Amino acid sequence: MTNPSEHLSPAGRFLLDRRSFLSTSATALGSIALTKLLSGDGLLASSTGGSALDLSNPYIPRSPHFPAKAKRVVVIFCAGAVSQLETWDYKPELIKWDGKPLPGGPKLTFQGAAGNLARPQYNFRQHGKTGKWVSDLIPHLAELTDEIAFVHSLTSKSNTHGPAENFLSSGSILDGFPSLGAWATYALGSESRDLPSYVAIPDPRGVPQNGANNWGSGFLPAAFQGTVMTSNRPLRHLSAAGGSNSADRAARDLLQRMNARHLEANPGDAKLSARIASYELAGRMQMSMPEISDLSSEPDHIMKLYGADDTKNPNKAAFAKNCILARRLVERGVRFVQLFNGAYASGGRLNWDGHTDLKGQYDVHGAIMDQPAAALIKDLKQRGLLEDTLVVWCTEFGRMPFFQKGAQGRDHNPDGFTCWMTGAGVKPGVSYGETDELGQRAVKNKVPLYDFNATILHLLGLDHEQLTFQHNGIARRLTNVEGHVIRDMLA
Amino acid sequence: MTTETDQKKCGSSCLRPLAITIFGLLIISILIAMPFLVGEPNAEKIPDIVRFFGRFHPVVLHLPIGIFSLIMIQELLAMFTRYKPQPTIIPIFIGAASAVVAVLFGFFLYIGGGYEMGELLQDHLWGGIFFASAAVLTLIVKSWLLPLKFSTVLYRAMIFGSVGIMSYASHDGASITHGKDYLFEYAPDSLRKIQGYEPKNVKVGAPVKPLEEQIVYEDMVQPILNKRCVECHKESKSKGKFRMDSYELLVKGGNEGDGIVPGKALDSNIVYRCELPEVDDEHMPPESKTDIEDHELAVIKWWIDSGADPVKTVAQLDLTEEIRAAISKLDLSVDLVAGKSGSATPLADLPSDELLKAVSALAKDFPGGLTFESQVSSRLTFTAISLRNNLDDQLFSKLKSVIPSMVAMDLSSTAITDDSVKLLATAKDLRVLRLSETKISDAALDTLASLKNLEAINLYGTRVTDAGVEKLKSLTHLKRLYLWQTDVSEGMITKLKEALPELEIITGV
Repeated sequence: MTNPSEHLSPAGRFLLDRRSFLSTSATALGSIALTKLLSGDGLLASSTGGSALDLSNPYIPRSPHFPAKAKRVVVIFCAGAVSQLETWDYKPELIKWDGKPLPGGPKLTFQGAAGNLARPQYNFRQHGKTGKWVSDLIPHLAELTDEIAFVHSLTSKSNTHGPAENFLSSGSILDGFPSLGAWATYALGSESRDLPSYVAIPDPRGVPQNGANNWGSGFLPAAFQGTVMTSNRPLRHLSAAGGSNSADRAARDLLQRMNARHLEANPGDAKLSARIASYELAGRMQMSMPEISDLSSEPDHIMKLYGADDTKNPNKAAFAKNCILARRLVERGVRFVQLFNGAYASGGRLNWDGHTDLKGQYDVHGAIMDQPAAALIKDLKQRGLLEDTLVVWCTEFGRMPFFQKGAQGRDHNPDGFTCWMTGAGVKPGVSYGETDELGQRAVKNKVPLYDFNATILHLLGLDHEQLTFQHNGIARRLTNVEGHVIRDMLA
Repeated sequence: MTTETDQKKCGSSCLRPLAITIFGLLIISILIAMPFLVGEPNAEKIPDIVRFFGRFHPVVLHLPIGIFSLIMIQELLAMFTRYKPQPTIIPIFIGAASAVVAVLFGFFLYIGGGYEMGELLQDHLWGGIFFASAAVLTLIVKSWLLPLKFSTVLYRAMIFGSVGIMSYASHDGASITHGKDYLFEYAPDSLRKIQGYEPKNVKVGAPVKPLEEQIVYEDMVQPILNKRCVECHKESKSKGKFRMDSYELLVKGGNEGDGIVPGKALDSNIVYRCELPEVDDEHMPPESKTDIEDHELAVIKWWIDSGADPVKTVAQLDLTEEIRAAISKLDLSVDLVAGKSGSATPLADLPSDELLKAVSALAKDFPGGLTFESQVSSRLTFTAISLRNNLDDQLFSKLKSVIPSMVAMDLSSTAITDDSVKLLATAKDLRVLRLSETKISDAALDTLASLKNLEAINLYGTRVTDAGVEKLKSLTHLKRLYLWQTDVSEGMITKLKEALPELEIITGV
């Protein structure tokens, strides 16, 4: 690698040749300022190493810091805060204390006065070789517990959906920070030439409370934000406007040559090169996307496996189709897929935010999420994709062991909740950390969400402390100044 | 008359300046005496509470900096505008008091251990003491200035002087924490030149120094010595009159003779002492210190045996596989990877120029298909995920020269046949291979059976049969085999599992 510029585009070469850039500039001070700006864009500082980031081709694959176990990630994001007590965190003590007040418990929680302790609203039984206790709400996922690494002791920095969603997705409770998927694609680029590197698939019923910030690129280059699509609303404006395919391709090739010439005449214009890259990708997506989003080629047994044929539960069928879409994207090399379950519209009734009638609400959502999500994991496994794909199931926080006063639901609880991972590089059949005997607070191996994110980056071959981007004078990280990789979850 | 007025003016109001003067001079003498009265830093003898307060030095020190800067600005304004600072002693009092506390805490931090007494620390210690003393003296002058109303020239001169000493002392302090080059690291070259720095030579996006170009002594041996030995064998603490912090001193040796004998590692004191049994009194490093690691010693011995040359590079010495392995265990990430020190990034075999050239030449035919396994690896991964049906045997054959470097290959849903799989015979390090939904047949599995490092093989959706997969029985490292949608029978799967109990066979749901 004696001369790195050999591997770069004209725009990249120009940017790297800083000395001639400085010497040819009219005023030294101006060029110093510009150099500073460019380094802020991550153009000069190649913190992701390997091949330096080249904005005229931002999606080219880049090597990780160390050999990666996972090449791709699917995040199943259950918006609205899934109760750990009705799903993965079995607390038999709660049955004993059902209906009694919690001595010394908080009088007031997020939404109002606290009521009495309430037993888990579903029966639990043991599953698999590990004998993991899982509730009857999610029977299909329960079959997979031998393959899963659970964290039961997660904590969040906010007990409010919007900020907590941000914290889970971007490591900051504030808006405007890059999401995990943006960091991953910034570091690693895309395996696929013809598809976006990062796709966000919202719930068929709508987006989560904090919407696009969950898949935003924050201060990272805009090329790394998530592309939004669902199975029932594929990407818009992709169909070619008449003309034959070959004529279309010829026209694009000509355009590309002209663009390249324009770029050589205007070297160093990062925005121009990024725009060209994005046009070129869009052109290729006109070919690739219709095929990918057309699920009619899926055989019946696959539709059945996911529950996409369920005519009685159209929401489940629609979520199942999203899950199939996720698999198809992963199969074609999309680096990061975020699959949302639960929408914010109607103030929380369409997601896991069970404040008033938890059982009634969860009966609906469990049925929508369980079978399709489980089928996605099984399908990835049988195709061998789980070999190098990490699947993460997560939610922004948990819920209280007691009901809200005068209601049949649980209030927000960021002090101890459960998320899990399975697939590439994950130690199967692990349960890490514990909450207290009523499931209110993490008491053993407490894990801030930073650690969970650091672990995901680690599985992608990235050191969360080395993956940085210079912004406003700070070398920003997904994990801020926190984060420890949870070694006990690694195979 | 004058005396009377003075007494009248002063009288009881002179009690306070008097008290401040006496108390202030006492404090100054304590500060100056302090370094002489307290001995060497010794972490074990210093009570924890002292070390605890020492940790507050970086917090407290900013108070006098802020306060004195503010006072100076006020005085400057008063000199050049009609602005009149309030005639109060409070700011200067808090400024001086916080300066004294900052110096005390700084001294606590130092005697708590962990800082080597060098020129920089010496300067910072005395800079701090002089600044605190100047601050207290300024306070004394100010306290007399209020009742006596003499000229402010002396007071102002003292303020400016204090700020000057303060800047000097705080710059030294910052240099201890951040390193000497911190402030001017990114300064324009013109400014750097004035400060006596080299012009910036920022290698942006440049590759890390390849292994062959590493200087063995400078990049490997001395860092090991720094980590294991120099703590006790340096300028300020040369145990056995032997210093190990430079090449010349290492050769010169100490009380016990030569440090190293070039060409004869086992006769060299530094190796000989390390190789003594740990119970031996002569063993180095001593009992209380962390022992040197085997791979570190191996590198040092290799260097001495090769003549202990201070400037030769790895390429100029004879690099064996064992030494390569030992080097790869050294924590040299600082030198090799643009990143922080101490991270676990192993020194790795960086790709040869030949391989890099081959990879970049192939980029046209396989856009985004070839990626190095990591930023410090010469191993390759390949994916045909964008090519799919466009990858046939003819195109695949272009990869021939880089196949020996492959560790993972995804060839699923491509148009390749058994002919391409034959080319994989040279991929001796291949661990993961995906051939799902291709036209390969049982014949391809002969090649795979010879790739002993395979850990996962994906054959789903292919025409392989019992006769083919049986050949895989010899792959003892195989952990996962994907056979969904193939004609492999239950009986064969049972047979394979018997032969390879660790193997998981995935046949689908």
